[in-house]
Amino acid sequence: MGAAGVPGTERISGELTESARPEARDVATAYTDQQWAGTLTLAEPLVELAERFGPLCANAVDPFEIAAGLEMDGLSDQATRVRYGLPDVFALAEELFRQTKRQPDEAKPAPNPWGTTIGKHALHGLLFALPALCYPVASALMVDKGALLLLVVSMLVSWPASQGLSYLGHSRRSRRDPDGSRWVLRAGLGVFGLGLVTIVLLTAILSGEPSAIQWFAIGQGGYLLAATVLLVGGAERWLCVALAPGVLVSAVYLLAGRPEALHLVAWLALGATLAAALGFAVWKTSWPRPKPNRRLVRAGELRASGPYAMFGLLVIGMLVFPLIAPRLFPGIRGADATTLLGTLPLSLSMGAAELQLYRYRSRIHELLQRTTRLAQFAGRSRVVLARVLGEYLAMATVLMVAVVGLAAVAGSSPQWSDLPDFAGYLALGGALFLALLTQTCAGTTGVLVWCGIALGAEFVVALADHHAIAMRIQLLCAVGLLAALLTFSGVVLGRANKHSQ
Amino acid sequence: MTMDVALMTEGTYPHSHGGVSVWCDQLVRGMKDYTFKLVALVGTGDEGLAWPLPGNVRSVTAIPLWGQPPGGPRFGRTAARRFGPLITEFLDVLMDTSPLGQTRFPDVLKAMFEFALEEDLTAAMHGEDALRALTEAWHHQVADSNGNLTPPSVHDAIQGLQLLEHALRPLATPPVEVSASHCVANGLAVLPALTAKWVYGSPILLTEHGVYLRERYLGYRGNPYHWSVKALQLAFFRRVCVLGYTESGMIAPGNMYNARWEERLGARHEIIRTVYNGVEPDDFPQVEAEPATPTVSWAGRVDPIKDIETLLRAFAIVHKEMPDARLRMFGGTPAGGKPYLELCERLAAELGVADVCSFEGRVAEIRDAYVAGHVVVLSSISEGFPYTVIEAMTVGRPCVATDVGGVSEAVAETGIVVPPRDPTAMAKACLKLLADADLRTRLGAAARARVLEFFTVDRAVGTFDELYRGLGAQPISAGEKQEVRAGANQ
Repeated sequence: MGAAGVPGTERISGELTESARPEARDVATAYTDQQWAGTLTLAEPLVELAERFGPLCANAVDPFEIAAGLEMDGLSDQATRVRYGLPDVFALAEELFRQTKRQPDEAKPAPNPWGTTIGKHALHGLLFALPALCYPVASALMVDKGALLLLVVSMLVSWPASQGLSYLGHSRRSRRDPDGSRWVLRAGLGVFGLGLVTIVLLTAILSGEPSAIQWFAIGQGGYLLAATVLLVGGAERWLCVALAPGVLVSAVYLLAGRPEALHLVAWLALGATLAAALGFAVWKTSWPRPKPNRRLVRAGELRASGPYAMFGLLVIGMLVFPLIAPRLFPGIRGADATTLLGTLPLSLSMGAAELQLYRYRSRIHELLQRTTRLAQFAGRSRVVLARVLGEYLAMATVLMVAVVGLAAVAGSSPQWSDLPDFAGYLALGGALFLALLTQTCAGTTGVLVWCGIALGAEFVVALADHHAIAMRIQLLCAVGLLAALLTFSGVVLGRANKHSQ
Repeated sequence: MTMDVALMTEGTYPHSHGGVSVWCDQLVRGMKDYTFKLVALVGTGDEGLAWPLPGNVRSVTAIPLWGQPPGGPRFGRTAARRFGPLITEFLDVLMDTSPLGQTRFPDVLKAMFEFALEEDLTAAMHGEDALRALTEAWHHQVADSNGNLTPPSVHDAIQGLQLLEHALRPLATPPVEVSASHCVANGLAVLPALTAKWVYGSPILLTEHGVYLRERYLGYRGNPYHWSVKALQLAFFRRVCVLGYTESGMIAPGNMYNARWEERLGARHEIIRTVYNGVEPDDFPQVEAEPATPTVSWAGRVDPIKDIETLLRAFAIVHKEMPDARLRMFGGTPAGGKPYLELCERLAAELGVADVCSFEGRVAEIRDAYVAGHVVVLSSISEGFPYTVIEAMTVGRPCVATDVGGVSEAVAETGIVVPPRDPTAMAKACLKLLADADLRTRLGAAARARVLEFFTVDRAVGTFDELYRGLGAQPISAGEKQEVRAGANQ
């Protein structure tokens, strides 16, 4: 632009030459034609230029993109006039855009962020299941009248807490805030740990049955919270180290026929596992410290974690139903030790569920890149869903057969009549897998509704039929839940926008 | 009634350091008779303030583009019914390559703003209706392309909508009530200014240090997105930038070079008034003493855009002619920039000048970097109106600088401007200055005189005072002045 009419730039020092005025110069150039003479020998015809900038022109969305690229390469308006006889870079860019056919490069496939290894999830499955080996050590205490109440209360507190905490930790990690994740996990461990101790002790006092089992119940919940912190924080190896003394000594204790001589050692080993898990959880979340003046947890984060905590509550409700139903509804037949064996492969299969969740997301990621219309995606995504569920159920069945077979070899006596009970656990595992999958992609509301209905149905059936078998009620409701969630997730996860994260 | 001026920024003041932030700080502190509301587009919202705020800053509104979405009322069926036709129209406007596309854009953007004030725009943009609208629109676009375009996938559509959703977040923030909005860049920073104009009629002053749209075009080169995703985003930026130029009451680019793009994109010539960056002369007193060894100095961050390779090639020529000459380079290497530093170090070794070239990293006082050389060189292939050049000029050092952005306007005839990516021309200019002490002295003095005449903070502030008054912004009353000045001097 010229100087005329531009306020504020009229005062030009007499000491400077006319051409030295900022506003008096050609806006695009400063050097004279003589200075350009050296570069004129390098001048290219337009065709050569189009060839040199071929990829830029073929990929350009409009002439401005070409103009930006030409300028970036050092071309000015004056050079354009001298070399190509066009008034400026924009005119040159328009000419190139006009002459070049749009042939965009093929987009590279987006990297698949859902790659994983089977070993990692197998380890998780073991970490979920192995703590079960520690219960026989405390079996002597469980004959106390209030033992079941305290253990159930501990689970009802620690399961929702660990689910909520897990959400908080994972959500911060996914927002690339690992420091914040560590700190919220550590704070959650402290707050929920204190809450757990308080609630279990109050229950023990109010129920009038304080006993040694209350400490086991607290330890059970504390371990779950610490394990959650270590798993979310990616410290599986440290959790293995912490779990080792309790699991190894408990296994020896069991294999040796629960000798009295090993009883104290076994308790000490359990104490060591708990102390190590808590210690590692605190240690792994200690550094670095959060930035000053930063709020530890936002109200919105807490609100968002609520549904996950509720899911934890509903799931533990369904898992303990066969244990508590006979107490709540006299006449209902509860689960025996053999059928409870089914919880072990169920826990192990949660590792498989994790693996399948990754496989599902990986396959959906590829499907999103292969499909161009929403209807096409919806249809194929249901096939992917059915396939991952089928694979999960197959793996869970193998685990169930293996565990029951091992138990039979070890002296347990599973009967054919127990088969529906094990099938109930398989159905529950499938339902939990679908619930996790759907929550990950499409939010919690629908899943909570269906899980709530299933849990409610268990209690309604128990209330209606005082002579029912708790495990049969669970089979019925778990199969119903599996069917409902399969239908629900088939519809919801068929929407491509649910896979945008 | 006296009202505030809103200063709209993106990725700079007051949450980040850098040239534009320095400029903003100078402006706010210099305009002591005005009060400011800062509206800053930031990354996640977790950023702290990087600058102490003077007393005439009344408030800071941070609008995160990438953090947790702002949230809003539940996105129900009624909102979905309203949003369906809106997003279809919005996407159609972005893909309309005829001039009508830009004509329709203001209305549809305003409708998006009205929707964002009442409903959850983020949820709406993540909804299935939006995805369906985009996949269908692309389907038609591909069908019309005679086989030139490959069909974008559903994944591409999700990416495209996510990018647009982030860019539209400023619309969901209630507009600030101010007497005028001063945008420090075009593009997304204009969105909160547009909403203030729509609701309160606040006029807009637009300053550009670089050309926002040009930088977006360059930024999308070599990106991993499908062409259709890139085209969609760039169409949005182009529409917003054109709207920014046409809706502004005054445009104050940081150099005249920018004005070419601005006018090309629809800015009226008569409302463009260049306001150059300014330096505080007291911070850069003149230095006449020179180093004992013939030295070329360079200051900046170690980044490909600074084209240090051309500098090294030029210096290799200088070194051949003047074997005792040295090249001293000052400036940090940004995160991820180490490979480029290593590439430059290898090049220096290949050229046989590794022993006489030094990368000296950050320097506590930038003035020392200019004083270290007989000549200060700028080798960049893209610049706005670089502080490096005008600061070196203030110190009294002659510059050899590439003809990019507003560099030629800054240097004029007080130094030597050479074409970018031309080591021979750069070397010739350096040799000429290194060999002629009288010329250096004369150009150095002229450079300082030029800065004192044209490129001081006081001059820039004085011009903005005129521009603010021209837009109708009123300085604060005498009664408030004393209180605010006390704060501004902090």
